[in-house]
Amino acid sequence: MDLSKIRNFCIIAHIDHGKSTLADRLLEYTGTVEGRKMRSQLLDSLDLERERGITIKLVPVRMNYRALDGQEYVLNLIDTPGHVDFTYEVSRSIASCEGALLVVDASQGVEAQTVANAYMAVDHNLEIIPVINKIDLPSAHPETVKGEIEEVVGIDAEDAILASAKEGIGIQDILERIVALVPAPTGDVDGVLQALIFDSVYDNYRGVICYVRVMNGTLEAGQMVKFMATGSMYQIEEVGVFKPLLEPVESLSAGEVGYVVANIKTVAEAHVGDTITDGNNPCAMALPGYKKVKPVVFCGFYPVERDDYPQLRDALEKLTLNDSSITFDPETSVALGFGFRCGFLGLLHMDVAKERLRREFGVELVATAPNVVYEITPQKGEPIEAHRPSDFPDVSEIEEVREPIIRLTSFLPSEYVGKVMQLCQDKRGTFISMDYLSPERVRLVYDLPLAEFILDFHDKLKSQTRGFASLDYEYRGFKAADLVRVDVLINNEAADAFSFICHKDAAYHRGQAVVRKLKELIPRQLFEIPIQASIGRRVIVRQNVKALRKDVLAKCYGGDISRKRKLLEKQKEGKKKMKQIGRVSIPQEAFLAFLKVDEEDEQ
Amino acid sequence: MHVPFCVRKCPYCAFYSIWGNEGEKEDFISALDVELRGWQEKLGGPLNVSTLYIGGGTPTLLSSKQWERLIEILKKHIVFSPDVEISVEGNPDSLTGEHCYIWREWGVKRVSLGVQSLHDDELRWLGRPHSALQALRALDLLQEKGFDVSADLMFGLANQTLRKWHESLSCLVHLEIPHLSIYQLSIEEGSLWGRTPPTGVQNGYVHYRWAQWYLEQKGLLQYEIASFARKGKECRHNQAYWFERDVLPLGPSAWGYFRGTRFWNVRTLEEYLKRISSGISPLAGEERLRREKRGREAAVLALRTRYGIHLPSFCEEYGEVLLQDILNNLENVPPECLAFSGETLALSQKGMRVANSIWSLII
Repeated sequence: MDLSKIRNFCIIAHIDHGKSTLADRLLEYTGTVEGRKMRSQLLDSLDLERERGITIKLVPVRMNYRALDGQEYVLNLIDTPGHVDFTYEVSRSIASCEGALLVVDASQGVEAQTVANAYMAVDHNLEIIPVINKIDLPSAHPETVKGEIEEVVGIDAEDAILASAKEGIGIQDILERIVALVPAPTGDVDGVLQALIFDSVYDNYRGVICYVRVMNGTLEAGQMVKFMATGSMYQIEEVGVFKPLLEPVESLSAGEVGYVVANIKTVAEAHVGDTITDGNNPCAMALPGYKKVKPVVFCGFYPVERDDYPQLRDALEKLTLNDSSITFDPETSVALGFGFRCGFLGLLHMDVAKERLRREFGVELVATAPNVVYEITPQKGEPIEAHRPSDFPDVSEIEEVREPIIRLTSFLPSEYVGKVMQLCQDKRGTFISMDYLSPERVRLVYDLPLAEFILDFHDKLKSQTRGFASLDYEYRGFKAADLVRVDVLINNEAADAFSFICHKDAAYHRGQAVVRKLKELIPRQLFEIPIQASIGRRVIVRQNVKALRKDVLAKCYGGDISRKRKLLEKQKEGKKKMKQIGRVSIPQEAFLAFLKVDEEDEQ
Repeated sequence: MHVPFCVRKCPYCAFYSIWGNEGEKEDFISALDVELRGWQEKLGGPLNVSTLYIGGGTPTLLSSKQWERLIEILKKHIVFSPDVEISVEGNPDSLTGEHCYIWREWGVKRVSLGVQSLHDDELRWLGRPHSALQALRALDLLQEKGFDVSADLMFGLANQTLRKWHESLSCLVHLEIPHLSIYQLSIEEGSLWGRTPPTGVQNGYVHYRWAQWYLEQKGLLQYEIASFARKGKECRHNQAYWFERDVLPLGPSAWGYFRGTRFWNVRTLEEYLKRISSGISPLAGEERLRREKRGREAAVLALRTRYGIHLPSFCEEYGEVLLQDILNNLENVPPECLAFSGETLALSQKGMRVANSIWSLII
């Protein structure tokens, strides 16, 4: 194929700024999908996405377009996942393109997320084509938005395309601009094979399907190829392109975008970012930028019905065939029984995984509150990676605890700056910078412990700014902090399930909250029950559940006996379902409520 | 025997009763004759009875004529032991001197009166058809005729202060009523209040605690969760329920117990009469418990009373393993809730206050 007739581009947009609808219009306009087969948000690959109306990632698509110059062009659209959890995947998608549409909502303006991805695209030398979408809305003010793009992203927006994907305005303009401005791919068709995997998905019938951008050389069926990160060899069964359904072709050459099927069993063997090369004639170096992503947020998944544990395990195994960035290890919880500690790239990733398990695999599960991973240097011995409070050694044996830090960028109306700064301070944030994008809009940057962020930061930010703030973050690594494990003792026995990690200064308040909540939820029993929170051996909070005073209703003659017995049996069953810690029966709700202890309770 | 008639339904009550016209009352009595004959045939001999309890409903809604006929029928079928205890329930608004006369003649020993409260506002709130004054008059009448009187009292009522509760209690104590049944208002499924619960119902801890302390001072000993009596005035009939003795049911929705099987009659008078007139037994169902369940139930019932579980007999009846298991399950119960004495295990008064929690450990 003639390289000069290929254009590879991606779309960078904030959630809700109209990415999926724009993609639909491009498909229609180029006749890639027949009108009768068209449905809304066609490229949203997951039911979940279509339903929530948010797009995590569109499937790639190849469009044929006859431009006004009379020439036929092949346009490959590769999507960038619109969420910070998937920053690494974004970078690989961007590395597969030569151009990017920067889609900005005409009434909302530039959002934090967009900026980060746009910077990345600039970084990879992509040609950026600004598109101001939704200009049909009465609240649209494209001129202001143009100014913002220039100010914030730092690219020329003078000629930004004014479009409305919904109304079909500006679509041809966009296609023409892609043809005119996005550079044709470069690459050596006859060179040694190098293909970048920018995504891989699992198909029940065909195994793993790798989405690739060929940089040099040619890929064809029958060829032996090598995956450079794993060193594994495979024979290619099929190569093809996205129309947007998979359509086999004879070969894919340098500059082209398509897919490869090679009897690969799990996506873990086909990492995003890996390089495919010729098995018999491998290239000297892999393409740059490969890294293995590591989960940063952890939580427990437990089946609702304890008997469903094997189903949950199967479902997780199948899910990880699809998404190798999820990790899971068996764990047990006093409250919830057998389950798994799972690792994710972020909160959205976690939510999506939970939903997919429910929908695609029919597993009903309980998810515990998420937590981050801590690095601990003990006074003696090797450093420890702590995924849960019980991984913490005794306070006296700890030299240093480090926690993950993120750099948080938030765009918000200037009137809310004070509130948001207060929120960041409360969350142990470190101020980095603040600048006015316009008199009305501010960019605020803070370094924040991830643990504080995942607790409820997003909700708080949204409620304090009435939903007007957007945010983005990146990982900054680990930083030492004064963190302690707070233990909870019930009737003087340690109750593991209630332990938690927090900053020393917050230990008293959070300990108080947990103890108070437990006091509410543990029913009175025949004896008084002290509930304490402690750091090491030092008790910081104590409250008592008073002994039961009265639990009897008087009469019982003839016919009452059977009925009363049944009531007592029910009461006994209820008690059986409770968890015994020492002599104390603790209801399931106490454990569940604890998994959701939030700031509200602390105040 | 369940006499299923009431002038009206109290909102807290889930027992079966209807207003009942004269014809239905007559039919009811005639049907009892048939039911008793049926039992005689079934058991193949005379019905030997040591206690009889005629409750309801409101047995005093039967007229003196109807009572005379009822007594004739009972005498015809039943062989009463020489020390028989016959108890009758009555309500202050329908009890008459004639009732007392007939009962006396026949040999009724105990009369249990549904006093419930000696405060008119509480009686109104409970929807009772009588006043405090009527209750006092009825008590007076019964005592004058020489019956062992028992009074029912309720606590945990809306706005029932401890003082008001004490007034009801102390008044009965001063009248030297020898037996009291005190019970907490409970909202039963199937009652009017079960559907639309009243507000202001209290937990009743202070009321119960006070009654336990006060009545004991006045010589009314607590011999069961809800029962207080002067020495020798305990109701023997109720103990038959708590110590698994054989009980014969008579009348609609009555319950019986025979050699480990509990059984019950059809619920409504209509169904009862229909069965009887077609020559079918009015028994509606039965429940036979496995030995272990029976043992657990027996332990719970015995622990209702101050006599408690006689450990050697229990062991003999239900085995060492079950007894040990029950004792193990009681291990976490604070010692002040239990009363061990020699070979028996009972609940202390403190234990009786939290009896449900303790029973649920061993059921």
